[in-house]
Amino acid sequence: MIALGLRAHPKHVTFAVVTNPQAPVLKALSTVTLPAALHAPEQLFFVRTTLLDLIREYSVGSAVVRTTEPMAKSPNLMRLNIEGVIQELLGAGAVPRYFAGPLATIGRHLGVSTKDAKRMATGEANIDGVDGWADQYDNEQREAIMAALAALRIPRSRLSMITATQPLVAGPTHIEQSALADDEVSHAD
Amino acid sequence: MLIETAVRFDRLKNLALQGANSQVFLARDHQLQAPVVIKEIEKAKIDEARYFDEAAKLYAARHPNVVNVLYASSTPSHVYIAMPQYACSIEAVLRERPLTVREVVRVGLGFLSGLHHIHVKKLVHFDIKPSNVLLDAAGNAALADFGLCQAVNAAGLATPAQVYESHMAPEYLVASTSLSTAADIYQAGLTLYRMCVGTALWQAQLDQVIAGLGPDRWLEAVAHGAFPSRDLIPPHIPNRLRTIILRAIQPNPDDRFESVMEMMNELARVDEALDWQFTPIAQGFRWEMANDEQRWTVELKGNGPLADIIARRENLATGKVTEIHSLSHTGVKGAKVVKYVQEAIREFTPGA
Repeated sequence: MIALGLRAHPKHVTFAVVTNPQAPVLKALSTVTLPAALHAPEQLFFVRTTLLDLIREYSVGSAVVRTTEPMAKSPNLMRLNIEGVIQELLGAGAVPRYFAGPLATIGRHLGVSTKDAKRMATGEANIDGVDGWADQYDNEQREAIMAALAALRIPRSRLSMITATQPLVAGPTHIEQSALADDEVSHAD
Repeated sequence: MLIETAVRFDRLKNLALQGANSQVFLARDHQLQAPVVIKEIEKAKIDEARYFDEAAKLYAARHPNVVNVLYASSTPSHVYIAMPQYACSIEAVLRERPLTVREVVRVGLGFLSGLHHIHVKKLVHFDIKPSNVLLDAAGNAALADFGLCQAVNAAGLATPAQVYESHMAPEYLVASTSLSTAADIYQAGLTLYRMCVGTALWQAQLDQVIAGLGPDRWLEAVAHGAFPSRDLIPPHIPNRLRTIILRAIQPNPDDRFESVMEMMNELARVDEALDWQFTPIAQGFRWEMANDEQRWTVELKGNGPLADIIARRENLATGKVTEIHSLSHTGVKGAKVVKYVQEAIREFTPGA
């Protein structure tokens, strides 16, 4: 089983590929750079094609994209656009299992609280079994790895896409609602 | 149960130069009732077991940046591969003019995506060149012609059945005919080089080197990295792009990019002097860029053994042309020529 974790930034997408759910191994950790010379629509098309290539290259069986926090004070529009394209790619059936969600949702899959997931992302808290968690990786790399580890734990049945449903303005959180719902669908692979 | 069926199409016109054992032509397919591009391959020139190799490789490597195969069929004497019609090849564009940096990035990332996919499929293309990079009506690039494409062995090596001299990787000449994906990276670098300089300058350089060294010895220049000339990359090409090309065409495969993906990530970072159109003119070169209000031109002209650089700004509303004296120079020689051209381009580029 090979899992992909994605973390978007307005200028690049950080990805982590992990395998072996029992004792996860990091197979790849890198970025896809958005072509600075191209306009936004072409950049988004490039991200889609290149991530699809990655999924095929590594025979990815499950994927998680870490999305912008629903409570973010000033979300970046380009990052949201990239996350939208990634969600569309996953929804189009590029991988059999996937979800899109903020750190709280990823934390739930890893079996940790939202607070601990955030501390893991910043490197304040460690993840068991990963050496140099706090100093060898930056925040985006840590989040991509966490997303990939969460992808390893998506149950075997095919799930519908689950996204954060909260508005982007300040308001009460409904993270629990946005987390794994039970509406499984059974598309033919 | 085997069903044999007939495929009919009318041959309309030849499209590319005749290859060693193949011909590409435009046809009208009777069944699909649409124009298709047909590659006709002579059976006599290939092993019977390999008749459909090329079609099968194209099909195995299906990708948005790889030419699509519609069907393959055969007559007693020929194999036919049907493909969709593309607008033109990059070579056809380069015969008119070199590409702008923005176009090099766009087309480059397109064909490199296709090449990366081919490498993931454990294939080496062996024939990356501008005439094998096709553009569709939307300007998206697709890699064509899998006639030389080979699957790699466990060591990651393959031997091409034949090679075309002007794009031959140096290691083929000095080390071994067993090549890795690094040979494709060399050819991809050469293709980017040719996109920057255009066909006229490329051909002139090739003719000059072959005439000067003879048809046998000029390959030594390839083997040692003297051809193509690294100095002929035009001065408007930003350093980042120049570095990518130079690294991809390093004579030693170990000095090149490790993967096409690495090369793509570097190409994605190119963000300077994007829209300058470079053109060779009589006794010199011209760079031009325009927005809605103004057009900027920089001309480099031979003046005996020296060079003149003339920088102009034109107001497109009034048609008034102003020569910018601070950026124009007469009687320049040596490294200052490139420096002054780069200075004028930098000063003229909006937002720089």
